[in-house]
Amino acid sequence: MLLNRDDWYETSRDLDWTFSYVDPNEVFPASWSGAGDVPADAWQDWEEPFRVSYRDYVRIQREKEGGVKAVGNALSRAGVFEKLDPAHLASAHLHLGGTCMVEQMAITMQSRFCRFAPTPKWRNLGVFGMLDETRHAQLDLRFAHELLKVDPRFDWTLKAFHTNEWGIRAVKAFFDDIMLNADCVEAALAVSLTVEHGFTNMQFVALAADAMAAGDINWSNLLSSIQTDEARHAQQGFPTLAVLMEHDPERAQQAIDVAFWRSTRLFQTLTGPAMDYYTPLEQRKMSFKEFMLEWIVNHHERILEDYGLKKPWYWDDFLRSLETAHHSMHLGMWWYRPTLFFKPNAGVSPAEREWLREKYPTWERDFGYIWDQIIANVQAGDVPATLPETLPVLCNVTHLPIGGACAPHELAEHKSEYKGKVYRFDSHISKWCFDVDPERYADHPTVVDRFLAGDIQPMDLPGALAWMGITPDVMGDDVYDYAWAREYVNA
Amino acid sequence: MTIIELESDAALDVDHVGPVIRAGRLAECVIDAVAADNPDRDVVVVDRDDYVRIHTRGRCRLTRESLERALGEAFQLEALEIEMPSFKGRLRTRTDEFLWYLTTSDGEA
Amino acid sequence: MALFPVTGRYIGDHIPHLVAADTDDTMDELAAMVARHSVGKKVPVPPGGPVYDVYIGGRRIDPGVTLGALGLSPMAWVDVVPRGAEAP
Ligand SMILES: [Fe+2]
Ligand SMILES: [Fe+2]
Repeated sequence: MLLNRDDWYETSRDLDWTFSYVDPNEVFPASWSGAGDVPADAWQDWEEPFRVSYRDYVRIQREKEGGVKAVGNALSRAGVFEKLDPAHLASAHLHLGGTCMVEQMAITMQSRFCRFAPTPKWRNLGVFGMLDETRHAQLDLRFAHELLKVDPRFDWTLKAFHTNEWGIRAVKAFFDDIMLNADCVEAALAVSLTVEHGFTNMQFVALAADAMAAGDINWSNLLSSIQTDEARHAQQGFPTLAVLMEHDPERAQQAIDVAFWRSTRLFQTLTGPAMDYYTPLEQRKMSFKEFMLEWIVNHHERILEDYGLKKPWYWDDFLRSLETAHHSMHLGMWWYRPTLFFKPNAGVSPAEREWLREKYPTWERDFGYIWDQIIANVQAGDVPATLPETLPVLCNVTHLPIGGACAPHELAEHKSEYKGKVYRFDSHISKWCFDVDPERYADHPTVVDRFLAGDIQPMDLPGALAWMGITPDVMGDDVYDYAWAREYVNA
Repeated sequence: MTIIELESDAALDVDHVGPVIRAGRLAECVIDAVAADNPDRDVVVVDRDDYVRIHTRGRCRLTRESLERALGEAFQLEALEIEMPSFKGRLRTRTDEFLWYLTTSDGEA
Repeated sequence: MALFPVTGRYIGDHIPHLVAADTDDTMDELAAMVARHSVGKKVPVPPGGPVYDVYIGGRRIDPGVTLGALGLSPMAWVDVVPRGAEAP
C-alpha cells in the first residue's frame, strides 16, 4: 500500500546533519541567517503551516500553468485587450513596471532561505518559494511581451528597474532593503509576513477583482494565479514569527511595524490610484479604503495578533491615512504625469467625484478645491498651468513625495539630523522608521538629493525626465485628454 | 448550522477564518464541504464576484471526504491551492484535512 | 550671491516644492517663487492679490530680509501665506 504524505513528510524534510569539520556558525553565519540571539535548538519548534512535497508541487504548478496559458490563448484570439478601457490599462502598466522585477528579486530572497535559513524545514520550503518567484517573473514577462506589439509601455515590465524613474526608485528602495539586503529572519518578517501575507492581497486579489470586472480577464487571472503561490509561501513567515515571539519579541514587533508602514506607503501609491481612479467607475467593486479594511485590518492584522504581536503604535494614524494619503499621491502622480511611464486617469469627472465624496467624507474638503483650480485652468485652455515646473521634495525613508501621506491641512515638517546631515520625511511615522535605524536609510539618496548634488544635468525638469529614462513614446499624459474637466459646467 | 450569504459590502467579523476561493464550481463545493465539516458553526460566505470568502468563526475544518462528496469525484486537498489565492487564519494541512484556526478567539472552542 | 534651495510650501497646496532660491533673495522675492508653483495652479489667487508673508519655524520673517541673512541650512522648510493671513 502507498504511504500517504503524512507518514513520510517529517522524514523527508529532515535534511540536517552534524557538522564535523566546520563550525556551524561558518556554515550559517548570523549575518545571513538572522538567527541573532535565538538559541539554536529553538528552531526545532519551527513547523510549517502549509506542507509541500516536491511531487505535489510539480503536479499542482503544472496545472496552474496550464490554466493561465489556456485563458491567455483564448483571450488573445478574442481580441479582448483592444476593447479594454484605456484608464484601466494604467493599472496594468504600473503593476508590471513596479512589480515584475520585484518578483525577480524575490528569487534571490527565497534562494537565501534555501541556503541560510536556520532550520532545514524552512530551507526545504525556500526551494518551492524560489521556483514560485521564478514563475511570477516569467509569467509577467510573457504576458507583457505578447502585448508589446500593441502597446510600447509594456516594455517597462523589463525596463523600469533599469531606469531612475522616481516611483520605481521608491519601490526599489524598499525591496532592495528587505529582499536583497536582509537576513532570512528579517526577510521573513518584512516580506513573507508583511508584504506577502498582507499587502499583496490588495493588488493580487482585490485589484484583480476590479480588473476582472473591467473585462481584463487575462491579467486578473494571472494576478490571482500568482497569489495562490504567495498565499502558500507567505506561510514560511509564521513559524519564524512564533520562534521570535518566544525569544525576541521586541525585534519582531519593530521589524513588522517598520515594514507595515513602508508597505502602506507603497501600496497607497500602487494600488490606491489604481482602485479609486484608474478602474472605470461602473466596475469598481469597493474603494481602496474598504479593501484595506477587509484585507489589512480584518484579515492580516488579526492573524498577527493571534501570535501575540501588538498593533503598530501608530495604528490610529494609519487608519486616518486611509482617508487621505492615496488621494494625495494620486493628485501628485497626475500632476507629475510627464514623469510616469503610463497615462493616468484624473478620475474626477462629476460622477467620479460623487463616488469619491460618498466613499471618503473628507475628500471634497481635503482635495476638492485643488481639482477645482485645475478644472478651471483646463476650461480656460491653460493646460500648461496644470503641469509641473519644479520637483517635489522626497522622503528619505519612502522616497515618495512629502505631502503624499496626508491631507494638505495636516502637512507638516518632519526631519531628523544624523551625522551632521538633515533628513526629511513624509510623516512622523517615516521619521520614526529612520530614527530607530538611521544607517539603513542614510546612504540612499533620493532623486531630489541627486538633483541637488548635481548628478542630474541640465538641472531642470527636462534634465530630470531624461535622467529618469522617460522617452516620448511612454511619457504620461491625461488618458482622456481632459474630457472629464469639460464635463463641468460653469466650474 | 446555517450558510449565511453576506451582502458584498458587509463587514466581516474579525474572528472568521477559512479559505478564499476563486469564484466557480470548486468554491460552491467548498461551501458545502465546510458546512458539513463544521456542524456546530454558521458558514459565512462573502461573494465578491471574483473571489469568495468561506469562513466560520474561530475554527474552520475542511476534509477531503466532504469535499469529494460535494464534488462527486476524487480530489486531493493539496490541489485546493490552485483556486485559493488567499485564506484567513493559522493553517494546518494534512492529507485528509485542512484546518484554519485562531488560538485567541472565543469561537475557537 | 549663491544658489540656495529651499522646501517651499504654499499653504493649501498638498505638497511642498523644491524651490531654487538665492541667498540674495528677499522674503518677498522668495515668497513669489514659492507661490508660483501653487497659486492659480492648485490653489486660488488670494483675494488681496499676489502679496505674501513668509513664515519659517512658525515665525513671520520681515519682507525685506534676505534669505542669506537667516543662517538656514539648505532645503529649509519655508511656509508662504497670503499677506496678513494667520500663521500656518
Ligand atoms: Fe511573487
Ligand atoms: Fe512571494
